[in-house]
Amino acid sequence: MKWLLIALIVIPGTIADLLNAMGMKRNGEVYDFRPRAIFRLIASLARNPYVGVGVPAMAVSFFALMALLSISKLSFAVPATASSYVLETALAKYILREHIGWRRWAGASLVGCGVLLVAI
Amino acid sequence: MAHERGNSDELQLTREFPAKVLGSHRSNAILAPGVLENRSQPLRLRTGTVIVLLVVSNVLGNFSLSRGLHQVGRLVSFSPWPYIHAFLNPLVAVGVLLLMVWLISQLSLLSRVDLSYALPATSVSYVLTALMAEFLLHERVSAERWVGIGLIGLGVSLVARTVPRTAPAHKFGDLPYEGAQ
Repeated sequence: MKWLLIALIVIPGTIADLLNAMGMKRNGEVYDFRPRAIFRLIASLARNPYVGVGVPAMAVSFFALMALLSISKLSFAVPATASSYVLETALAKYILREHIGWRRWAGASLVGCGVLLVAI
Repeated sequence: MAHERGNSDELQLTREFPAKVLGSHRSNAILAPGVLENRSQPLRLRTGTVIVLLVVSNVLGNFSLSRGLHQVGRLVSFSPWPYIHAFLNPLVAVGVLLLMVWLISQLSLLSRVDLSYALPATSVSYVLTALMAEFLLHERVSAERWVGIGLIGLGVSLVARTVPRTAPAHKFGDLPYEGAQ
């Protein structure tokens, strides 16, 4: 059950990150954080199809996390959700066309290893 | 909440921005009277501030959710009612509110920087989570976990030394591959 929940956290979580990154790049850079501006942002995101799928995928991931948090310790639950740093960096390179230099590869790998160790 | 102007590296971006903001406000002021008085300066947050907000809301949100859910009890169900019941717990409610702050700051961050830059930057939250597990939840943090924390820190500092944004800006509706080399 724990591992099923982790799959339900990681897979929709990865899809959500990619779609949200695509959607937010199309939305334009967000700089204003006054409440009114945030409401306007939410209104414009409601019409953004990428974020429209990305946020529900994030919600699936989030409810799976809630369920996992209720049956296991925080220190098991949270690091286990982060097993996909290198995968998401690779997807960012090929799908989002980001430039991934050696620093980013090394950084993502180190973070991935670190998260694995933290999860043990 | 901190009111910061982009200085240093973001000066160029924030300089060209006010025209856009004022333009959209003018149209809004017609619809909602009273905006004019409140319209001083946009509350601009630097990317670093957004990352801090994101990390703190994520860690505190997860922390209070975890606490709250342990009070609520076992919660594995495909029916929505147990989840709705769980929201009535104050710690769970605070946790959910903080995670909404997290969502907004995550989306704002992704609007500005690469996903492959944002991910490691936000992984600092695992370090903070582990520290909170040690000092507030009194879960034992093992030697392996401290090594892991060190590796995360090292990885983050490497990624922090790259250009934050390399992804091409797409027009809305473009295929993800268009305009990218």
